Amino acid sequence: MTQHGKSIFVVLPAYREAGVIGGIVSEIRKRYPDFSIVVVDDCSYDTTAQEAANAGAHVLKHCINLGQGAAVKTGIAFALQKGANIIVHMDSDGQHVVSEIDLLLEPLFTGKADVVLGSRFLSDRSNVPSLRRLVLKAGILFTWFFSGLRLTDTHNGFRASTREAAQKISMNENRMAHASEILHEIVRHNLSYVEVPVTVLYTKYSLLHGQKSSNAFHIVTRLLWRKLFLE
Amino acid sequence: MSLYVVGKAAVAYFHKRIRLPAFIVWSSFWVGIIVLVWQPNLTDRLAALLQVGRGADAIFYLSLIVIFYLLFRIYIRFERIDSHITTLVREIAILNNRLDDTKK
Repeated sequence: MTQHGKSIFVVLPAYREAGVIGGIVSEIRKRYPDFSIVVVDDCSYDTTAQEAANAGAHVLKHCINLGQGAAVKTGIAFALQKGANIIVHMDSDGQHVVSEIDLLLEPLFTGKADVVLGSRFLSDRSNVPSLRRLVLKAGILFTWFFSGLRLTDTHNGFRASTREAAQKISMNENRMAHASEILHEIVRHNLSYVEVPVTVLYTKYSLLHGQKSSNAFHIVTRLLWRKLFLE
Repeated sequence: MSLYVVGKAAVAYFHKRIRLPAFIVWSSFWVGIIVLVWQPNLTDRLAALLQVGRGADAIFYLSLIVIFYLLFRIYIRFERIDSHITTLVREIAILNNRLDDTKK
């Protein structure tokens, strides 16, 4: 469970990832045998939970489908309860490269940052489709405008944080807008952060299962609504 | 119709399904409708007070404001319930995992 004397948890929110999740959990276990893996099954009606459990993950099951944000939050709460020192967030559709967890951990081990954010635009390893690239670039501008953070990528689910940062970051958005919310929380709590280049693989499977570009509109309206009326 | 609704509200209040403030507001609204049907000229006075042309227009504008306000209130309430459900579902997920662990 430890590396550099730290207890490290990898949180994977999952919804209908049967056939994929088992392989990802096994790969993480093989490469990082000391890490704890938490799969939060967001009320899938397939065998996601069983496959993850068989592969050796802690499995938490939502009895209602709440969304990726809520699943990430459940995983973080569980990891904190279990005494995690570092929490890595990762997608469970195979878009992220397991070995790149090392890149996220390095700045945390050296104390360079409280939060490490993966960026698909800091290297040319990711095959980002043009429309997605455009939407993400607009997201970068939106984040800069609303939170003041000048990032190169905003909706990348591959990130890691220290225990202290995870305890401070409050997430209320159940669905995809949680990714922007995390960035706002970084600013609000004055947490130090760094971006590292990571790969995001756009496969036929991930494009079918993952976030749609059209979700951007929903994310923006949710964030504006929260800012205006709920905060 | 109005009398029927006021009656239903009274029954709900006596069976403690709604509280007194809700009963007063709801009954007043429907009694108000009865009064306006009886004395439609009253709306013209309201229109004059609000500097709107006709009584019916004044009622229309006021209704819209009230409806939008209620929608807003309902949305906020809905958000709160949604957040409570989320908390419950998340807690249940963690508790179930703990139960599974103790069974092993």
